[in-house]
Amino acid sequence: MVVALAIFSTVSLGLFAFTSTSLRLVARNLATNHSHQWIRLSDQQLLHDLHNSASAFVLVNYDGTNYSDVTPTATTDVDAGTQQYISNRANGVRFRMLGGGPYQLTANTTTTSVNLTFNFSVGGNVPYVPEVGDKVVFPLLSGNGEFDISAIVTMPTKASPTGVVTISAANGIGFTINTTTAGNVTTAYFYREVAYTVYGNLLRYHPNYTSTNKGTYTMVQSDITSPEPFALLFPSGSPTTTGLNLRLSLESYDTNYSARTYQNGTTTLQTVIPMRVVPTQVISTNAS
Amino acid sequence: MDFRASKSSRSRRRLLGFTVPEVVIAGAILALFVATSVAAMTQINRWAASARLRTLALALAQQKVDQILTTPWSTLGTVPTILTVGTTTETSLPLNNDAFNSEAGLSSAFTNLDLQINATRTTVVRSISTRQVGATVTVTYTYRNRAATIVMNTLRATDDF
Repeated sequence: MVVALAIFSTVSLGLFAFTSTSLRLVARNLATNHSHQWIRLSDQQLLHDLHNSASAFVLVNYDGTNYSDVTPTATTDVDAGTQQYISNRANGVRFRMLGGGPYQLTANTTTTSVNLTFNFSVGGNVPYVPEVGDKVVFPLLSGNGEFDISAIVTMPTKASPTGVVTISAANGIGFTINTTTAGNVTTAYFYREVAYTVYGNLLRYHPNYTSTNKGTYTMVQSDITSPEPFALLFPSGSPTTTGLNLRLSLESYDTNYSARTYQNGTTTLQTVIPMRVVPTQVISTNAS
Repeated sequence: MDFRASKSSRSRRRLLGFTVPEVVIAGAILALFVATSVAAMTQINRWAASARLRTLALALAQQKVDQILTTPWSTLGTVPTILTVGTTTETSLPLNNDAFNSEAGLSSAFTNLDLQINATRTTVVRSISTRQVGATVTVTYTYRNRAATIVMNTLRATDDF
């Protein structure tokens, strides 16, 4: 009887140890693969969008209620990959991306014009519809041919692709543009403010980071566990930043399917992603 | 038929239980199964960690390529350091942990749990013409005594080509 009990206990303990070890190993594997997958996909999307930024990056903060800009200041931390100083961290970043264009200006302007008419048709469709807060940029206008859109007078549609936008310019566009003479073609690009934020373990993409639209986002990835992953870089000895290099320290940990004891299920991605549109197509970084 | 003899024989066999060789063989099979399972699961974990490190190493190489592609370079000015022909080696680059994440107010509570893996990044810039360079970025690291290498190539021309 005693021998039988001893054997039974030993076998039971062995089975328990085996099952426990197996579960831990499987859980660790799941945690590692999940966090790896989240970071890999986040990196792909962030690389794509941040590379395509047409303006300098601006750090933003979301406290659960309000979105606000963060003034970058250099810290004593040095990024190992670039040897530049890291700014204070933030949980978001905003920048401008190309919304649409080039679109042709189809109505003449005087120097004081603020209403601009464009043909938004592309192959019979209207892939871009302007919104208040977007920027319109005329590459061929001397000086700063960049204006904020303050109102949409006529919304372009597929049936009627001609749209009219109002620019925010106290003295008007500043140029007389003749669009009716044959051969005269004046075009402009439209840029929209977008943002990425991390809040509540979510990496969120704001496709239209303008005044009342800021709270609208799509979830890029869950299980992001670095609450303030964004920073800007300061060159050595420089008190200012160009805002052209964004440092990411994105960390993911599978909070749903694993316990903290499976510790090496964490993935931390550190990298610096610069925009590739240099010089920038949008000069102003004012909030929209 | 003699039912008594048959019943008696079955009773004897039940009392005898398993023979020692049977127990040893069964135990060996069980031990082999356990050892193989644990080894397989451990190996799968190593592969997962290895795959993760490759992604992080790729990001490290991509970061240098990004620097090469975006550093301003005018034919009228001097060649920026990063585009100067030659070989640059950076050592001890943290691959899978960011110590700065542990700073007050930033800690996610999950950082620095992994075994720290450092990488070496070697950048070779070669001249193609006065207005163009080619670059090869190589990131190497060692994980479980095995060296791994990521290589990325790129070309860069002057801004005012």
